Amino acid sequence: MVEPITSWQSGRSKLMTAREAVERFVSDGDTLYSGFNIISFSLTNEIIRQGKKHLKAVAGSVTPNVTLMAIAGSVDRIETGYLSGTLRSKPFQEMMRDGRVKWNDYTNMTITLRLMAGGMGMPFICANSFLGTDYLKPEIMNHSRSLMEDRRREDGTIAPPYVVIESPFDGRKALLYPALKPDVAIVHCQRADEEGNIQVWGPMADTKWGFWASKHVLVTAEEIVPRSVISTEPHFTVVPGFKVSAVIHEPWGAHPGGLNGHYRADRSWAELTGFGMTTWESARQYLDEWVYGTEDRSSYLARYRERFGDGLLEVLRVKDKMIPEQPARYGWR
Amino acid sequence: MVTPKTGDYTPAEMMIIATARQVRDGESTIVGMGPPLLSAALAKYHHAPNMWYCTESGPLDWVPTSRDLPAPIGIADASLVEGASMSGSMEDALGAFVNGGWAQSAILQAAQIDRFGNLNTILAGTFEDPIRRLPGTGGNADIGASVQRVISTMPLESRRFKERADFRTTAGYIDGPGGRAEAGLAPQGPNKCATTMCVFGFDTPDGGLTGSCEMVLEQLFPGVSLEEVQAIVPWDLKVSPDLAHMDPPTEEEITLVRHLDDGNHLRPGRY
Repeated sequence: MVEPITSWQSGRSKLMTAREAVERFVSDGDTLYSGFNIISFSLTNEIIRQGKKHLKAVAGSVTPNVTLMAIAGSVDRIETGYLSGTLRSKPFQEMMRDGRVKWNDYTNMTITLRLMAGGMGMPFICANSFLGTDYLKPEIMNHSRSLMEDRRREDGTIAPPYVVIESPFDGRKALLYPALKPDVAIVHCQRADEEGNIQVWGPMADTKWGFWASKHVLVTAEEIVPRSVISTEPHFTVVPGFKVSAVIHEPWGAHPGGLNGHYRADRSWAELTGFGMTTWESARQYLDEWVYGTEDRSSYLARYRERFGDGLLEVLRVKDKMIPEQPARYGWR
Repeated sequence: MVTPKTGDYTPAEMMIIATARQVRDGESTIVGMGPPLLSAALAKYHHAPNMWYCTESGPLDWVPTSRDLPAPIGIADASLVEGASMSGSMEDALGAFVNGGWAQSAILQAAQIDRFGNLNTILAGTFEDPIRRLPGTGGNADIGASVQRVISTMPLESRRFKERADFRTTAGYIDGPGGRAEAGLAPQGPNKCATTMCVFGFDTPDGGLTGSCEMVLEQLFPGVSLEEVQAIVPWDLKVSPDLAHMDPPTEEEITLVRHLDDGNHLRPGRY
């Protein structure tokens, strides 16, 4: 048995609390990659508790965690391809209508590609998604609640949200979409080590490029595991530890959303609480009870158990953890 | 919900079945959110066991792990990954698979469709003052730009069938012959649209270069008349010379749809 060289595993621990992570790495006015498939409701709630303002949420699809941040006054700008469940809230619809929330529409793929461009240091990326559609009309690109101010150049002119070009190589039409470089990414994952080697399994959507493109990656993890577990299955690592700024050990950190291999989305949550945010009153009640009224994820879970008992939470837990029965082998000697 | 025209099934169930019947065995398909997930599952279980069932968040080539499983209800369902041959990402699914030209068909729902098959998934009314803002395109626009053939599906209602869609989120044949080529897009089709009363095709012998590129009534559901369809569609509808009535659902199809649905896609009030 060869002794592993532990002294070479020199990445420093980035374990901290959600409060500390948000205090250190989220600033008013930031662009926030808010998650697509696995949402960190733990970090969402902490951002709201700390009263962060004027954030721009970006993701291929944004989810009800963005509704929550918008209604609480933390998010006022959105760039996305899909408002997934977000519009069930009448207050949120109202905010889009009266301009309290400003946005430009993209698509699932073009947001992913824009994050890829940001992650790879390119100024823009090419796709054909909007050819032949009404998205190309100037009055749509610069509609009255669009993000024109965010696109203002130094000389005062407004950059377009995307532009049609003819390829200099063969004249074929295509669109250029500008790179997206969020200030901070928040996401929940199945497991990570202290250094921030994040492992996720399940559909990845735009997660990888959300991580690579963002200056700071804050991750809540269902489990914290030793580096030796990470190295057993390195193909599950989305980004390596040096790219990650904060690791928070937060079981049930995706609740009321789900996490592949651990628990299903809590579909009764909106009925049990005001999470549907269908009225201003129910939204405020939800925020008071489940966000401002809890200090962190453990007090959120304590309240859950107090209100609904253990059984309801346990019913969401999947029977078998979705972990390979036969892990990949990297045999080389 | 419209009352069933004939037999013991609803128009919504027949729409799911008619959509599934457009899927060919062995083809690679990108499956959109909502009822398309159910239609594609029906096709997979019923007549197209070798179709490639792929969704945009990354699961590719889903094979149900058990015949008792209901259809997936979301494009990122855990059940889609457990039976998939690959759990990829958005740039794998929409980027390489669809835009790379490997997806032979797509099944898409939309809020509206127009005379030339353009889809709308973003709003009813005008952009500045919408009657209703909808979630947006998701992958719909990405798919419409590059997939080889689109099977769209929606109930036949006058608010959904428009001479021109309130907003074109997804390119069909745009303004008619040559529209796709002029916009910079490859030919596409023959596209289909399956509804609660009938199935439409499009007058496009070569995928949008010539022909009128208009929607054409091809098949009526059992008990539905041409006049009933024309009364809902606001333009003078083209009718196929081969217009026929579609076969009613088989016992197997209707049993499968009800088993696969599990109350999710066809729940009361959805249509």
